[in-house]
Amino acid sequence: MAASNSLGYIIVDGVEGQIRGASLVVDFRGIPLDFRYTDPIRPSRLERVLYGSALDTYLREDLVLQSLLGAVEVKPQLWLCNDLDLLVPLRETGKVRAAFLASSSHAPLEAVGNIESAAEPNAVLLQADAVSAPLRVAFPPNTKPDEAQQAAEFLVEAAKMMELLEPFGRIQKAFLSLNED
Amino acid sequence: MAGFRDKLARHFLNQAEVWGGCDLSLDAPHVYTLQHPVTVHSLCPRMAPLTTSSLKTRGRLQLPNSRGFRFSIVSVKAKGTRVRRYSSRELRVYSASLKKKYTLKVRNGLSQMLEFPQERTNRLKWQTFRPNEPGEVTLAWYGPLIEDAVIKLALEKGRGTLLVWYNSQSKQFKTGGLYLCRRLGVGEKPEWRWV
Repeated sequence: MAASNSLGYIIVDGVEGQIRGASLVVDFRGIPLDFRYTDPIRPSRLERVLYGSALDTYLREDLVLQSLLGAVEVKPQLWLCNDLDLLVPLRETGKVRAAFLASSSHAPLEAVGNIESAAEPNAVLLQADAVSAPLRVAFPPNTKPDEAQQAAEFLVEAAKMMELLEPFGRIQKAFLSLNED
Repeated sequence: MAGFRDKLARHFLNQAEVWGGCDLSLDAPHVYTLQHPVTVHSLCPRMAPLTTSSLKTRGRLQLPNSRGFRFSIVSVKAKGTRVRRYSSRELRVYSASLKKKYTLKVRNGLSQMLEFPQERTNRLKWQTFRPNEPGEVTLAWYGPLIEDAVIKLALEKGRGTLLVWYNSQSKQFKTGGLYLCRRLGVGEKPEWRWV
């Protein structure tokens, strides 16, 4: 089921030797429509030695990310991640638009909706609302300019009703809560 | 006689005879050959290396991307075959069991997530409008918020953030902001104001 005016947030977290992930789909008010999380995976030290960095990539991208995206029932119109390494696999697996989103310390741009090139390739600064610093938004390589523009307009529309980065923090809180359980 | 001439030459002419052509008979250096041939023993005689062509036919090879070739860990799995790998301590690892180990369960946590509040930071420094009345100071601004969808609000005093619980069934979308104001004076309490 595809929900109109919805954003998907995805985190694949690797702390204390365990990897886990969660996805949260919200409407433009930030109200959850779908939330999925994985059990943590703890590869042994021996497995880490045997497979090296390939293990981490496999667990994050092939296992956690694909499993989450496969399980989500309410498909968002735009997937957002806060880890640049996830951006390309997210785009390839999610089959919908994807972007990396992070805060910046840049001075506000002139008007809401304005876009300015950032230092990194495929990244821009986006003034999503009038009450915060511009956001750093990165798109997967080979994203067409009009596609990036549409995604930026979509984010500006959502920012009228919610704080765009806030759901990332909510997922982290959910992780803490699940740990306590 | 020759000795006498030599002494005179050394004394008057500062000449000394230099003898050359010593009859040194050095032995030719010995060249040794390896007496013990090195034998190479294969630890895994049954293990055949996977080539890119064989991976391709199995559909496991990912095309090169910006980070170069990547081989899925699944590619090197030996199905049904016991693959032994030796370390210095003769430890045996059965890689065929890895797939079973990494089965991942994805859980639906929507009901728990609906109980989590959203968090709004104080963004007064970005907000140009202040609803200041005479004798009043604005302490914070939280937004955007959907006033008619709010069930509960709580101020987290330690971090200065506002926790917001929305009614997930609400159909309201009208946005607003919430100011925290305080009248100047002793004993005056802060008050909330929707704008």
